[in-house]
Amino acid sequence: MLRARVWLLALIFCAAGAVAPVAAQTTPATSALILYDGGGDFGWLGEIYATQLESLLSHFEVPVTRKPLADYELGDLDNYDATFYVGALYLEDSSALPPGFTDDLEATTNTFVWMGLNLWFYAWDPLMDFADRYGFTPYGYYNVDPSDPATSGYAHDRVKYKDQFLLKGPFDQGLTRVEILDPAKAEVFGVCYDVEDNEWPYIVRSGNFWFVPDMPMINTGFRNRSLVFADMLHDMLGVDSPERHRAVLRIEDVSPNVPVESLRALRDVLAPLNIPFTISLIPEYRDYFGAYNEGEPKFIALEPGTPFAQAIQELVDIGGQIIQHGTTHQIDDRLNPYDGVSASDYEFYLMDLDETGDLIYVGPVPGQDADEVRRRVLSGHDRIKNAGFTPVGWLTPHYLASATASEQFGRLYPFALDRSIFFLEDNDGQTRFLELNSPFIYTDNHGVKRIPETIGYIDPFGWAPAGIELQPPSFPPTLVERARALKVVRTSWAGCYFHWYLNPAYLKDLVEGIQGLGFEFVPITGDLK
Amino acid sequence: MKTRLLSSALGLAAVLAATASLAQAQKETFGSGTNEFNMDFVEVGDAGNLADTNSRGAVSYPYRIATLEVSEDQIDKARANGLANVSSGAWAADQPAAFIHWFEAAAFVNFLNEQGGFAPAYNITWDEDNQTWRMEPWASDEAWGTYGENRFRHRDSRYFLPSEDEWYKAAYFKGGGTNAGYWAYPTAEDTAPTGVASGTDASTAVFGLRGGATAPADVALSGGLSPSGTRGQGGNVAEWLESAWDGTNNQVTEARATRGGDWFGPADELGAAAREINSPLYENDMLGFRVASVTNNLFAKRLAVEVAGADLANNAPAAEFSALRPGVGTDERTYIVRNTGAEDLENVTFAVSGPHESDFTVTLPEDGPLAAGDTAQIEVVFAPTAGSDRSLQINIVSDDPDKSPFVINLAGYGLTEEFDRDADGLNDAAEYGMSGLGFDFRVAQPELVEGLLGNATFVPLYNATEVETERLESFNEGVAAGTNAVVSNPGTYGLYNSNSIMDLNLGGVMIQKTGSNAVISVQLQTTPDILNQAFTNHGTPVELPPVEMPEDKGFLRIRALGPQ
Repeated sequence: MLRARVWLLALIFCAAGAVAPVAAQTTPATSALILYDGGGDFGWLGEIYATQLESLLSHFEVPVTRKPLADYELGDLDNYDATFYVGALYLEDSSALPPGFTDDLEATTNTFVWMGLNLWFYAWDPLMDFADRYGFTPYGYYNVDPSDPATSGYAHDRVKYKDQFLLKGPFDQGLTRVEILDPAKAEVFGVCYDVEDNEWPYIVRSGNFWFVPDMPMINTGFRNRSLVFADMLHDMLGVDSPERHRAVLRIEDVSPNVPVESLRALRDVLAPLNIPFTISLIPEYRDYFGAYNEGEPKFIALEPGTPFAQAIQELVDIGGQIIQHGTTHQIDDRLNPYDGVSASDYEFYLMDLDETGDLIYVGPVPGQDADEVRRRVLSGHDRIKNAGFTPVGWLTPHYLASATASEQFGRLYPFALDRSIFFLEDNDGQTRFLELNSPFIYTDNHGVKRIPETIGYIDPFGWAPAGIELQPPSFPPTLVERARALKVVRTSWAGCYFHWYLNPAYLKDLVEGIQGLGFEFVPITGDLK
Repeated sequence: MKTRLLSSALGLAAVLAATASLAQAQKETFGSGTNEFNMDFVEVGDAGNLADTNSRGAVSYPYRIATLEVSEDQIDKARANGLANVSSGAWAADQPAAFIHWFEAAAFVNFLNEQGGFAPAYNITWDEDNQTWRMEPWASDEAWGTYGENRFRHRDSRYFLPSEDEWYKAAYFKGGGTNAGYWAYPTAEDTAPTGVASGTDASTAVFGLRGGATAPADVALSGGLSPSGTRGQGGNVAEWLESAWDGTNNQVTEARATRGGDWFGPADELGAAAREINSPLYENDMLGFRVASVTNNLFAKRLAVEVAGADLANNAPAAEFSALRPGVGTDERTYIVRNTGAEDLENVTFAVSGPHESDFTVTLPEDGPLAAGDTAQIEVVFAPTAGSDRSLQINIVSDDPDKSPFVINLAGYGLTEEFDRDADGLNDAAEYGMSGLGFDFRVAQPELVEGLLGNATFVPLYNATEVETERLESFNEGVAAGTNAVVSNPGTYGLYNSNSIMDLNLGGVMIQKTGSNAVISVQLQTTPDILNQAFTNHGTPVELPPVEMPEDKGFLRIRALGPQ
């Protein structure tokens, strides 16, 4: 880092002659290129981040081409209205950049967004006029080295943006620190803080060049600094979206085993709230091994004319939309992995538990090819329709499904109310996957349009297996604060869910708290963008 | 109207051309340039056919239905010609358009109508703010209403989504007579067709496909023909129907019916017994649609009626003539009968029917042909002969396949004392006579009437019977009550009471007493100048002898004895 700083000073003093940055994107981009670090043992990381970015860009309806940086061809930058470089890996030296890449970068008038690492190979190249052209320069990448106590101050734990503090998670404390040399050229969006309360510029724009000083795909939980990047995408792509915040509420895991009294208690609370909401309906309840029925198997299917169907109709009558939540939300005669009970087990991904009770993600369910997934989904779909209901969307049980299954969901329903999980095989053939937390609607690489869940669910109990609190309890104010953070994104959604067995009184505080922030609960359709 | 239909006729001439690809198919062309596309229609005849045993399939008019499902290529080309906010794309090129919801299918149909200069079939608009299609039902006089009100479909649209009966008849009706019966499958047979991946062989359909790479066939290769000459009504993709699931097209967001089965599902979904319910916003890769249309004849021969410059819907509720007193005045109206079609109406007959012929003088045109663009005139004079509702119908029978008979409903009202239309207690004639005061014989106004009758004796509104019986009696009762009130409360009315001295008659003083015996004291007062000086007491008061008058009331008088 010391070498870098010295070099920086030299650059500052050597700068001669004003080089004006070109203008920022002002008309909506109609094409985008994503370049990513794809080589080596961790190339899968770059690819999976790039895949997530591609999904985010689908919100803006921009056709995307995605390829490794190594496959860059001279002139590519001029063929796309906007190019994103996903700097996911720490490149050893500037030779990792394709020949001519930085020359193209300097010459292009199209939008370029440099994300994450490696900017120094461009910025510190003495043949480039980076500092003079863009009005800022990187110091270098600062992160905590656990073996070096002197680096403890390099932990960056929050970003302030639009008057809100957003979190940088513990797995992504690093930051490329930059210095603004010419505020007339370099505009800063958000301030990043390290643990010693030093302030560092966050996203920087200079003309058509953007710099994102960390990787916003990493460690994206609630109230996360990734929201800054999501919001800035509107500007990066020149999309002038009016600010609008919408919300969707799911009543979760409703199967024919649910007591009608519980549904009516929900109705009594929801009716005066006068909002559209969704009902996550599992059309066939199964307790295959009698886990909750004294060892006797218990199967209940949704049937027309039953008290349960009547109670569902009463929810529909006050604004409920039916969402198919799997068909059984478990896999027949298998513990997958818990107890074979609907709403407890996974349905479209094979799971297991290790000796300590931790989940093992085994892989696609044997026999669940595209046909079988389709048959399984449609059998539940038909059962719902046979009871006189018209499901309008999909919700993946536990959000987890194989890529094959997800593709079929995207062909059988116009949208899903969950989150995408991206799968990738690494160089060792091991399946890697990562969940995307998007604040707005997108269509993922499985072809599924997602109206995302973004603020979680009410959980008065929390989750503390073996006495270790992995998930603290969450109450309405918890979710409302998560929604408040989402307000920094101009087209954000507050997506949440509520289990039928909880005290319905929570709903009132939750709904009114979200509405109080300016979110509007709306009916859900596949036309939404 | 006339201008629009002329342009429609021109458009029709431009787009119609014979085709030999399918028997009796009529090819129509849409779009332009490289984005031009064709659509073939077959005419479904046997108008007035009987329904199947499940009550479906009866259609009382001829119509046309597209021989093939709408393809993705057709949607893409429509988009290139300006169709907006319609996404599909589950499949490509000549495969069926799928992943398209009902409103998007409706938008495509509207695009076809717009191309030909016809009225849109569906009253839908794109709500950009909320990113969704909005739909309103057509008003009754705009709705497709000849054969039962259908407020989803516009009466003047040429292309539309097939209703369930239209779709069903095209798929299963055997044809060749109105009582020909129905097949069980849309391949003109009672046994399930053979499932194939693609092809045009008879008794085949695209369904039950498995194997991972499965997909619907190109729309032109979607199995054998139906009895009406359509292809793919069974299998390939299921199809949206215009009809609501409950059969009544009145709630725009209500569930719709779909039919036909798909490339993935089993054979029984192709059968006449199978129908499915779906949200109009539902989409998947197995659900598409086809287009239906009026017959050319249906559009070529068209009778319309105007009154007061506005179109009159067939069998529309009558607009009343002016209400009149029998024998006092008349009201007149002229109806223009117009052939708005491109062809002559061959034999138009006019007749009247109804209970009150004597109240309407109807001058009808001569029966006979009505050439395209020509008009005929009906004159009606209303002069009621009695009170209450008067009505009559004019029936126009023609060879317009859509509107025969065309029924004009006539209605008027006779104003007499015998009827009280609004049942508010005041007869029609009286209310009509006081309309300037706000009375309306059609509208019950109980407060107004009560106010009037409460003061009835001040205005000559009662008939003799009323005055001599009920009203007079009430009046008499009122007078008696009023007299008692005055006598009991004289002070209220400025009359005598115990403190009043009012009587100066003949120089005497009259005193009214109340209560028991009277004791009177007299004080003499004097003044030398009555105009300028007040009276003052003169001497002491003199008490007069007590007067025995135990009655509650009585009058006394002190008579002046002098000076006279």
